[in-house]
Amino acid sequence: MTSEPTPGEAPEVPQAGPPTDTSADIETAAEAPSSAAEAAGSDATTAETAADTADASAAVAAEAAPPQSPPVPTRPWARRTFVLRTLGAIGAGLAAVVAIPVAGLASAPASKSPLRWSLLAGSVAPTPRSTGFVNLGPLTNFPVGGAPTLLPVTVPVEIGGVAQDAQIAVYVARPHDQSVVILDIHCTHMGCPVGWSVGAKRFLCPCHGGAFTADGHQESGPPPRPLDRYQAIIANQEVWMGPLIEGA
Amino acid sequence: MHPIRWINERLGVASIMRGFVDRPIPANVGWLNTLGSATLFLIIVQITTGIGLSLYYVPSADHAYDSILHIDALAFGAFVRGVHHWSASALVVLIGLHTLRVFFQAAYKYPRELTWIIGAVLFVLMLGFAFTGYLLPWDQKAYWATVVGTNVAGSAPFVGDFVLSLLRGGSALTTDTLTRFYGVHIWVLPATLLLGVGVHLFMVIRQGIAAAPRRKAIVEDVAGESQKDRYAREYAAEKREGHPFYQSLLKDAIVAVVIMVAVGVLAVAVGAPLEAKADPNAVGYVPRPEWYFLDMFQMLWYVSGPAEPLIIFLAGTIGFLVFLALPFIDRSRTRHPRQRPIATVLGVLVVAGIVGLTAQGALAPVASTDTTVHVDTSALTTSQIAGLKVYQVEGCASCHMLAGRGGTAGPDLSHVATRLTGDQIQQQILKPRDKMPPYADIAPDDMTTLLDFLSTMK
Repeated sequence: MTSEPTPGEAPEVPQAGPPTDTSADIETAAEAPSSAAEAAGSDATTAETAADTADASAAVAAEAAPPQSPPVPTRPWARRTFVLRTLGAIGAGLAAVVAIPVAGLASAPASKSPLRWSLLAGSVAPTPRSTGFVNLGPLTNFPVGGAPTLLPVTVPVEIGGVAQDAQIAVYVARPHDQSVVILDIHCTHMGCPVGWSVGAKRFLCPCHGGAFTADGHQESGPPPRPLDRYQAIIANQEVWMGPLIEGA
Repeated sequence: MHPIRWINERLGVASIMRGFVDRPIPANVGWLNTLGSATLFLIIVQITTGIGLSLYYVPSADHAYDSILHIDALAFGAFVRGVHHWSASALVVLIGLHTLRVFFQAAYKYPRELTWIIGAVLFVLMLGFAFTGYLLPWDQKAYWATVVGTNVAGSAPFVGDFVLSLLRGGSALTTDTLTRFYGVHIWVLPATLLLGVGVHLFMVIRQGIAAAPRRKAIVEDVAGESQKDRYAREYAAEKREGHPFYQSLLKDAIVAVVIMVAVGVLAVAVGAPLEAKADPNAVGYVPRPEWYFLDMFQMLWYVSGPAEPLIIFLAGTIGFLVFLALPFIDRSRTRHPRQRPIATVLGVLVVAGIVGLTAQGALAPVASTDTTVHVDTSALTTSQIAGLKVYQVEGCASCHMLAGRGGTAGPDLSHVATRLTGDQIQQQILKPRDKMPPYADIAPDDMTTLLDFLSTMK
């Protein structure tokens, strides 16, 4: 009983191709009576099935009605709705079975990285994350209280599941004799690379005018927090750089 | 048998075609109505040229840039990439103009509300194409615009970090980011776009093209008539005065030809720009987005403070929702721009704002690394010359212009003495009221000579 036409659609069949159209359409029109006959046959079967399956009132109504306006038997419609809804449910289920793993795969890196569920989300440095400690050389390389040193550093990272070395850049400042500050180069507003202005003695951001002091504290403009820092250790008068301390 | 006749006998498309090209459309459908078809034309150009580029492009941070150089060296390579680049810009312009036409003519009203909503989604998809597309060459502009863009997207409250990691494929911006932008650009967005465009066009054909608004309705009001019946009567009257659709198609074709010529000329004469290969350590690089995102980039100047991420998120979300739900916000029946002055004025203000912000963004100030100042010292006193030295040592020229040299982040100081007194200047240096960082560590003597020097700037 899955093959419709249903009684309601049957009268429309002859109208499908107006005979004023192309030859192809005329053929369609010529076929129409046979489709109508099929529809009528199907109609009869419908009525029989309905009678067989004990919906007596519908069957009686179908027999009593004049052939031009067949009544709408309730039972096949209920079945039709049921079948269509079941198909919809199966389709939705199949879609979910395929789509959920794909969505999970796409968001796998996001569920792995450290998340801050804060109302005021901040920028995140785009630098590949160093996974170990790196020697930046003797402490005496960095002048006390002077301009921060822009230093290219090769650090161990993991990109795309592959452990490898990457070159990143950091600023190293030495505000006091026995302290160093290792700064990420990205403005904490939107991530543009801050430059040390020799004249202004400040880090200036070329995007929206943010300014930071030599040890990375935000001074003016839109940046919401100090420049991100790397773990810094002084051992035997040598400077070691650890992982990035994720933005506060 | 004639092949077309043979095919038609099996497909029966001739009657569909006739129904399509011969259907009556309103008389006052004119040149403004070509904007939608021009957008469609450019989408087809983008898909075609994009397929061409995808045959050579390598989505990997190590090789993407070199593969672009390779494409540019191949026969037609630079041209195809140039067309892809310039028609992307043209597409942003045309989808914008098409949206404005529909807005100012209020063509989103009954029964075309859903057509507008799908159109609004298509508009955002187009910006998604633009955003994901220009990372792919992996040049400096691409890299740094993506750093900024992903940080903007990451400003959503609570889920910001998740969104950012989802976009970047982790915290860092790496080859993982490039591959997912590529996947989204060539699979996710095009599939969604084709579906959306299909439904959008289906609705345009199903409902017919909206007639241009009339100040006086073409039919008289009938008391107690439903919106549906009245609209049907009105549109039938418009169609009776109208012409067959194919007559309008000629205008569409002319516009498509003009656009193709313009894009082709730009592709040959200017080509697709390519900056140096992306360098994540490029201190000194001045990031600027593609022109169609300059307005948003510029807006970041005006919101600052701890609530900035929230303001960005709320402004973006509310803006999009208003855009999407416009047919349900503006529910009056009037369509002529002069009969809906509030909507028209608001629309003009939004357009002026976007144009103004874009222009400002293009001229956005940058701190200068050149801190030398050239001032004629012959007329200056010893104290004033000492003040000039302080000006240079303290790096004022990083942000301020003086006699035509210096940065533009702060105001031009060439005539500062006509605007501010010495006390006011001193106050501004020690405790600035705006974005200028405080220079509280200037020695009192230096401050005196500096003020003496600046007092000559009239």
